[in-house]
Amino acid sequence: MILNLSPELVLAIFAYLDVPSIAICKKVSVAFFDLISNDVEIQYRFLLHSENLGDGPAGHGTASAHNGSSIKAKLEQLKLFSHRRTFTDLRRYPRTEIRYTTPTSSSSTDPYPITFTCTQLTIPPSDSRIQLDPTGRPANESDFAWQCHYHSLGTGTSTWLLETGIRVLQLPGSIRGVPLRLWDIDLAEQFRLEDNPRWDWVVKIWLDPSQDLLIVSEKLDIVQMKLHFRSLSTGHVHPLARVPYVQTEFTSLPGDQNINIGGNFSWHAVIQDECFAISHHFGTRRRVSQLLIINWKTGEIEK
Amino acid sequence: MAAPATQQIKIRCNDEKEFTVDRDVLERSVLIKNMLEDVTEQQDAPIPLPNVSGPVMAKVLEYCTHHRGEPLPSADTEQSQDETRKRTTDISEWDQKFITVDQEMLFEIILAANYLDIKSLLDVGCKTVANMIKGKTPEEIRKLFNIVNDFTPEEEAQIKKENEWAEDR
Repeated sequence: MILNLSPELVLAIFAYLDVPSIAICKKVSVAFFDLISNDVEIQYRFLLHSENLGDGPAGHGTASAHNGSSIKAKLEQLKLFSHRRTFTDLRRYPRTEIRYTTPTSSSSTDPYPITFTCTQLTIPPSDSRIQLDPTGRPANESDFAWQCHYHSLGTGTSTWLLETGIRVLQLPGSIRGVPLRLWDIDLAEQFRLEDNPRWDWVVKIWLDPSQDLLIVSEKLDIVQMKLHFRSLSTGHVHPLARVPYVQTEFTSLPGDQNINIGGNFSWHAVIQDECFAISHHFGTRRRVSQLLIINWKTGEIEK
Repeated sequence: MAAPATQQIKIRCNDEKEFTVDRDVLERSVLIKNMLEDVTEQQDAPIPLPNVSGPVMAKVLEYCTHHRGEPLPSADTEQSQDETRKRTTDISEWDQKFITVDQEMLFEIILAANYLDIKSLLDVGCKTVANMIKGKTPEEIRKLFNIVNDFTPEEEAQIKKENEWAEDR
């Protein structure tokens, strides 16, 4: 009987459930309700879920047995900094600066400084000192693209497209125990990036750090693309994705074939839980918009 | 003092059932591993395991024999695994087949794995129960585990209200 298990063991089972499933378990019986309502780690996960935040590695699973009190402290602090309050009090935040210098490549003479503040993320794309190109060729503004994912607490993850892959900067979040971390994900081998001098036209990325998710789109031609589902921390296929990638096709219209792959189209996409919605707009004279919704965990596509 | 790998250890379960097992198989259990390390002299008396029955121990030993030789998880690997797996509930094919047992045995295995301190087996058991719960309604979960709904209608309405945001996917 499940109720013969000690509370600790039932909670160990719940640790493998997502927040919506735990919420459903709350409705099963008084014993389940009390167990779930009184557990600090679950409360913390519920709060993170409601704020659409991810936890730092220190807060996970079994670590709670040793850090119960620190999770409690994190929970109390998070409550203080809840969503609405962050926005209403935005002006009162001190402008804390984090300076981070990337490791210089052998050819680069100047370090590459980037500055973050609590309320504003500043990356100097026009700074002539930017030297992201590992071959030493002078990099210019158009060689440089970045995406930023941020949360209400002014923390988040930024990525840069490099010549051979993606550079990810995880901004620190002291409350949740998220450390400052910078790492590169090499995509060159898998996507034959060397063959394509402007691969940032071919490859686009989206990320959701709360799910450790990196979606890389690989454009095969004007209407076809592959969407790869990767782990943001390792670059490997995401453990929750049933298929490593899906191939999608937008409907093509006559006359659009000659459109330069680099121009005249734009993509917009969002990730929400297991859904990845992407809209595609292309054609100068024929303005076409299409929307695809893809379940990245199962690989199912809805048009 | 390093013991030879072939050393045989005797254990006795709570139903008097005894097993003689290779030491390295038995050492998948951190509890028994620590016990054996504390004992310096060769002992002939079987190790008593008052919380485990013979049939359950047979099942646990099947698991330990299959996974013998694999590195035991240390605190370090645990944390890095945590980072990448993000609560994945995937179970390997062999483990999946192994854990396909009736519910009573499943919970017995979880209790035994917890008592004997076999982390990987405990994980497999907990993941299996979590997978059984996933995607079910409260009524289906009650039926699955034979749990009685002991909420008053008022309490039920209150929880429903509190819960709405979290259940909404």
